[in-house]
Amino acid sequence: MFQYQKKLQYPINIKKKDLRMAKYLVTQYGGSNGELGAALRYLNQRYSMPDNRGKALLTDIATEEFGHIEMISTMIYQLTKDASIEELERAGLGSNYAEHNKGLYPTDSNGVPFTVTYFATTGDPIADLYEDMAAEQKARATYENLIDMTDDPDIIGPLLWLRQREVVHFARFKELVEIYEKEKSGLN
Amino acid sequence: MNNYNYFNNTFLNTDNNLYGSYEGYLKGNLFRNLYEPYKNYKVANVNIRNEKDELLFNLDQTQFAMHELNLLLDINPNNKEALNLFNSYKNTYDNLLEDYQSKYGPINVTGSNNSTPFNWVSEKFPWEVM
Repeated sequence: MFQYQKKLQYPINIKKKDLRMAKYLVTQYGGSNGELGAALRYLNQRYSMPDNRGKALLTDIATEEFGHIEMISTMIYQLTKDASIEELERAGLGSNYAEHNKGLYPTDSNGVPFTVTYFATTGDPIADLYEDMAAEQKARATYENLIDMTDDPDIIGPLLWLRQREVVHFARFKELVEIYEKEKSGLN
Repeated sequence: MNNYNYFNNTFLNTDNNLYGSYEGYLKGNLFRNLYEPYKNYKVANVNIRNEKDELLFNLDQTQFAMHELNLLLDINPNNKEALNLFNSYKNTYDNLLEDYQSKYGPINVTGSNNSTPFNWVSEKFPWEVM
């Protein structure tokens, strides 16, 4: 089961409204390389892992990704909460307001809604773990693109931190897939 | 259940290979050999304005270090050095959590007190600007 902790994994306090960045950042919520896809991908792949190491790692990384969904959502909320309708329209978020008002909605930067086709599950642990490694690298690259587009330190700090988590998760998935590959080839 | 006789050569050699919880938390990475900075960006500082912020920061960094060791232990369950360090952070975490919840309100619903209104509800939610 899951239980909520009423705090963020890393603090976010954005003081300046920035609709342009909110429009881009939403992709790490509902885009193909976003945190929602990551959390659900790992949670869903746990059931076909061959041993408890895989089940444990996917469970614990998936759980952390739920905390990252909350961090990205917090950033979007803080960046947009004081915006007027006119400001949203000027920032290209008029259609978003028409559909969702100020409610958060998982899409990519182009407004394309989240879809489960963003995460693959083959049932083959090695294929799935390579998918996960690729997902972590794509998320890292997306964080770098986003960091390149702002000079607000209140945004850059959490993005650098989230980017670093992709680096660690990639390394852990890689370590696990190497263990499974060795075992599969009988080298161990 | 596997007996996990595969023993990975992840020797922690704590002093050299791991950051402390403070530095590791700010970097988002407890492991020196895995840390990858981006361009010339400096690691951000967490703004600490009062005793509450400080206690939360200490709790967050301890929980973070514990979580990093948890991920390592997931795939290296025989790593005794990592387990000892995990347990040491866990003891600190338990104390800090109890201290924080008694002073500033619940982080877990089980940390709520006997006051009305229910303080799980009345305390701010974490996406509000603090």
